[in-house]
Amino acid sequence: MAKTDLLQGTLDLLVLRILALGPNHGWGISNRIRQMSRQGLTASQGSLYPSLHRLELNGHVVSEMMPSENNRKARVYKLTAAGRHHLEAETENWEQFVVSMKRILQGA
Amino acid sequence: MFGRLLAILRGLVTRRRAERELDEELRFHIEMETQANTAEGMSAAEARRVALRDLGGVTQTTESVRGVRAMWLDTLSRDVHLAVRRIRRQPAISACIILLVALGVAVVAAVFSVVDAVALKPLPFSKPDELIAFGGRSTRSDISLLPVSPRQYFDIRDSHALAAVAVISQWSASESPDDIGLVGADVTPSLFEVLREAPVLGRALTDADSTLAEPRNVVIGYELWQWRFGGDTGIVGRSITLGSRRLLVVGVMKRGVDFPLGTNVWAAAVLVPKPDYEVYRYLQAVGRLRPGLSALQAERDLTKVVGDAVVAMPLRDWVRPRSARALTLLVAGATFVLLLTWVEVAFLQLTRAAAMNVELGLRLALGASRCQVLAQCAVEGGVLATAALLCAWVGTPALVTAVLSYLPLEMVRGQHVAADLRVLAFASGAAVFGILAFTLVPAHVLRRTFPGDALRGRGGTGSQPSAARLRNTLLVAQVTVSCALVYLGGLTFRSYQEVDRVDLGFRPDGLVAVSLPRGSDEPPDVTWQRFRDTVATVRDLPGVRSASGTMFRPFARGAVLSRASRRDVRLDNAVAVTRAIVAPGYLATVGGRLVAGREFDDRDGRGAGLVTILNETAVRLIDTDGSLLGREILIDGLPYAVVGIARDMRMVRPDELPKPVVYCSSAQWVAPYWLLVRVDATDAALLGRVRHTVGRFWNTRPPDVMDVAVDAERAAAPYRMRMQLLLVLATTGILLATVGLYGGVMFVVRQRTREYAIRMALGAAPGGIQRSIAALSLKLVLAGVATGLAAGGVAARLMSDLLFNVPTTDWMTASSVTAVATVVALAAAAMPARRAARIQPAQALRQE
Repeated sequence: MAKTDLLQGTLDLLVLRILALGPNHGWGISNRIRQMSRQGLTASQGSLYPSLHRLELNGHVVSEMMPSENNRKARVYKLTAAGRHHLEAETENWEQFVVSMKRILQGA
Repeated sequence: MFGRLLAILRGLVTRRRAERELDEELRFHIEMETQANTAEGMSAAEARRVALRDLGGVTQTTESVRGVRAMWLDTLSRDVHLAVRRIRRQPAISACIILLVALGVAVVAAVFSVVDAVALKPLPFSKPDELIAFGGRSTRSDISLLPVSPRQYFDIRDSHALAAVAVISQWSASESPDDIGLVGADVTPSLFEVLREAPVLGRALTDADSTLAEPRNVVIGYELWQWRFGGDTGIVGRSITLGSRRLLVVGVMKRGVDFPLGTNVWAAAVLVPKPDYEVYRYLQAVGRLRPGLSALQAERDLTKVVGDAVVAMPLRDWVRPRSARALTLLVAGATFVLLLTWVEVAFLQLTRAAAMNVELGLRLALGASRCQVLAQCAVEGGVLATAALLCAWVGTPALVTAVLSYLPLEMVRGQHVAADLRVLAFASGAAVFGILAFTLVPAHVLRRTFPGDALRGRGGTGSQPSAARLRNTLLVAQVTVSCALVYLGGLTFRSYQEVDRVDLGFRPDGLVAVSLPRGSDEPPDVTWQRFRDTVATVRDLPGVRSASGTMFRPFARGAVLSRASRRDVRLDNAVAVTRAIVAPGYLATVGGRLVAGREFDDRDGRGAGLVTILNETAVRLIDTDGSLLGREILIDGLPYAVVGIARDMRMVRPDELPKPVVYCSSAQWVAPYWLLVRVDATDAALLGRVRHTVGRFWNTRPPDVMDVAVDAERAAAPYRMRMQLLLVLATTGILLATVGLYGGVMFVVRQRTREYAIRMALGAAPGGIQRSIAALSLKLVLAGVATGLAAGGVAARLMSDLLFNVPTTDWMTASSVTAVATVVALAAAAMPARRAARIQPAQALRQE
């Protein structure tokens, strides 16, 4: 099932984008990705967690264990200021990339 | 970046918890997913299976998350590895940085621990605010409280004005060379009640111990117990011999209690209410206030009890005099060293950064982010700082000891000083400071490093005006600190010379002191006769010039203080004087000089009228006319005839200010505790005969002999130590400055190679270029000398009471400093200048 149709590195960007909307736990994020995947993107849930931990080690997100609805503790992730900067910079990069690709593909 | 490091560290420390939490996190995911699947109409088993499948398996996911964390640890270890490799590649610079930081941290930690213990921490006793010291009002600035007499002590004890009261008289000093390190005190057993301290082993002293019969019962200090007796628990009840004293240990005091003045042997004082003793003020009094009573109220109560003005002060203030100038000096010195250290580190780092330029450029060109390169620098700084901190920790305890010996004794009495956890925290803080310096300087360089320039061999730093300014500022700062240190070193050196040259007023060479048994129960006349017989026999020994006796031998602690006045002056306005009780022929034996009148002789016995000899300072203070010879004065209220006037002698410290001394006759007071003998030469055979004579007359084993010249040498030791300490600091400073300057000038020469080449190609003579380089070096140094001398002058004013006979603004020292600095400037410039002169224009320009 690990069909990583997402481009390498774009999962991080996606996760940051989702967290920009507000703090969320892993499952919540995966749910959002699933909604997106219905719109044509697929990402393995399995690669979500390494991505989250990598973002945390990079200081882009922070996490905290919190009690959740089903009496289990859930780890809730929150975007940091550094993460927000990173998101902005990467979004811009991505847009430039898309524009360039489009231009090349259309021009070819 | 710092947050990242923290996250990694946190990950390392809480690894098990992280694993558990990850497990919990994934379980939560599966549960939520299963719930969602069930809601979509799957069976429970199916829902769970699909949830697991979508996640890709719990174990697999756990593994890949671990992989992420492991990779991070890997990066860190790679960074550390790289840092170690780079540090090893520049061993000289790295060693310099490590040693510098170690030196800085150790000095500051040592100073902090001393200042902390001596000035900041409360006294190590229970309810220290209730403790007071008290005594008579003193008219002398060097004595805060006059001692009290036994009579006064008994009156106060019986009046219950205080919750507890105790008196202390410190043993005059070591009585034989083996006694060094032994600090004894006769105390009333109530001292431990006052301090609320109990022995860790055995029992405290009781009134039953108050006897002079040998062996005396004593409580010994914890450190002495550890150091002399290896912490042997069988020590209690054992008879020991310390130097010439035979003692019976009844208890071992709690660790850290060394009150007063570093005491490590306490014996029960014998305060026989004999008429003679009652007027003697020789006991230092301490007490514990009744709860709720202030020192001021106690002062009033005590004055009423004693019938004479009493001054009480918190024990803290007595133990820690407010004139803490020495501390200021220490702090200033430490700050200097720290400043020098950071200046040096920053400079070395800058030099290193310049060398790093190419490497940084290469790494940037290969795609490393500036942030990554900076992280690498921080890791490198961390490794260096850790190494430095370890070195510092090895050196700190020794430095603490050195700093302590540097402080005047009065500053540290009753204190327990040791490097502790707070100091560790302080030192670590200093190290963090170092890491910052390590990181910020390369960051500064990095900001201006462009891969292209760096790889083409054009340094980014040197050509930037702001970097050149920074480098010059650092160089000047370095020279400033070094010059200030050299200046202070010069002043202490001259002080030591002055102390060495000072006229003591007597001759310690060839003077020996022999301890005599004291406090026996025989009538005073018998003891006095025994003493006279001893002197008569010793005097006849071949090689002995003269012999006499005294209560306190020269350079020993302990003194009896009295108040002296003209007959028509009220006791309140009397002069606080040191009372010396001496035998006939005393001045002749010690080598002092009689200005007028006569010494004591056989006429001044017990039945005759009381007589005294005054020193010149006493004469000046008691009567401004100075015509006291042959007249009567009052000493502690008793009339004395002045029979002689003696020149001032420095008998406690070579640098002491002249003190008023009144000499009283041993025959009229107490037989001497010390036999003083002037000999032609201190040869062992002669000293042996003297010892045996004494042993024979006093029916004891031959006592040890103390050489007064050795004591004199020891008394000058603080100056020698101060001088050595500052000279070491100054020398280090000069060396560092030379190296720094050399590096700086060399750096400039490298940066300007092209400019010099062009100038030479256009016909400039190599000599001109050499001169311009020397001028550059001189300019930097002279700027540093100016500020350094100013700083040194200010520091010298702060430490003026540690100097002796040297003005704080000493032109001779200042001009020597300038001369040394000029030589350093030229020496540092010599090599780089030669190098610049040897530049081959064509070759240098072709390299462009």
